Amino acid sequence: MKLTANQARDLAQSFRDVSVALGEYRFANWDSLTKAQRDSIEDAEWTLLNYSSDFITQAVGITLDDANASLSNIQDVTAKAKKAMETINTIKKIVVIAGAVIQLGAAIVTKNPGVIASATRNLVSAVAV
Amino acid sequence: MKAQTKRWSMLLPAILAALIFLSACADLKAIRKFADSSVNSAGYTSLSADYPRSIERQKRYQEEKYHAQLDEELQKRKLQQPALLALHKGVEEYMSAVGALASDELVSYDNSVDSLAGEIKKAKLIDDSKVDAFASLTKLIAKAATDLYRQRKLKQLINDANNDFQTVITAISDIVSKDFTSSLHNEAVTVDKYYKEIITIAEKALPQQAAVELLRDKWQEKKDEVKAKSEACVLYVKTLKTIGDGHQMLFDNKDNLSTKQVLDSINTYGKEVSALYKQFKDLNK
Repeated sequence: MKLTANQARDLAQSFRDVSVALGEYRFANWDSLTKAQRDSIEDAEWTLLNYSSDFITQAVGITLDDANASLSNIQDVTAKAKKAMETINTIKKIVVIAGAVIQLGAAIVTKNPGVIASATRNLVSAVAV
Repeated sequence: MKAQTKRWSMLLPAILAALIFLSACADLKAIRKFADSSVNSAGYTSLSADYPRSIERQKRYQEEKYHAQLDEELQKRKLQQPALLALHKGVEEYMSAVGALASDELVSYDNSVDSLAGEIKKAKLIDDSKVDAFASLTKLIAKAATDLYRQRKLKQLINDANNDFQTVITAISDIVSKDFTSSLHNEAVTVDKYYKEIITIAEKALPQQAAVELLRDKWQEKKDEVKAKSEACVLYVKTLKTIGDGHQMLFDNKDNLSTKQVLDSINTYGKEVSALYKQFKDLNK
């Protein structure tokens, strides 16, 4: 049976609590315990604490897996928003191009080559942006 | 023809007034500021980067026989880093998109139309006054049209994203408030066990009061470091919750985004996010 994130968290806490309790026992009874007994209890403390850390890592992994679908949806929605911004920027470009086309039209009416060349350059720049 | 022209000249002020109203009522600066503050906060990944380092620090206090297990743990946490950072990045990029859609720059035609008007004036094809009138009208019409489009898109974005956004914010909040703090708690227990052992041994050996005092100072220093990291986690979670609440408020009022009430509210959320972000950055230096 697969653990849930909260179950992994509860296990992490339980293992840490037992490790702490063993440590308190060891220090409270330091003189009445033999060195071998103290070493054995200490070994259990570290093992339990390191298992606690592993349950924390598992909880993070489960939470990341559970959030994956939502993250993917947010990324899709963000991509759509970027497309909307591209549309707005395209509209802005069209407004500028339309203005440049009007300028070119007016220049052609004047039949002045210098003015036509300048208006053509502006239109080319507007399209290139 | 004359009647038609007369009709248009009577209608034109009303049309212009409508356009001015439409283009003026969507100042979404407050949403932009809230989004910008949220981007900064979401982009703060130091707590996530520290998560595997907690194991490295615990390794220093444990005997070599536990190092293989700890190395394995360290590897597992390092492998989780890309997915953790992806959560941060997802929120960051989403809020960046919200901010960009709320930005007045997006629907401003000032630079491009003014530049074009300048070129037309230089060519001396049309009266300057007519060019200016043309430019003003163009900006007004273009802004009104694109502003309606961008408001619709912003509303759609918030509407489509809210449920998943809240899920992702909750995921990061849970990881920071429950798992990172739990890891720091384990680190504090590790430090306590280590120092308590050597102080107990020192106290029972030949008089070494000065050495014991030094050890106690060092122990307290290490405990304080871990405590500061835990406090930074608490502040970061508060920041994330404020971002989530702000977005929820926008979602709940998505049909009235440009009203004063909503903009004032989001302005408050934005300021709160900025203040909290500054606090936990200072704490986590």
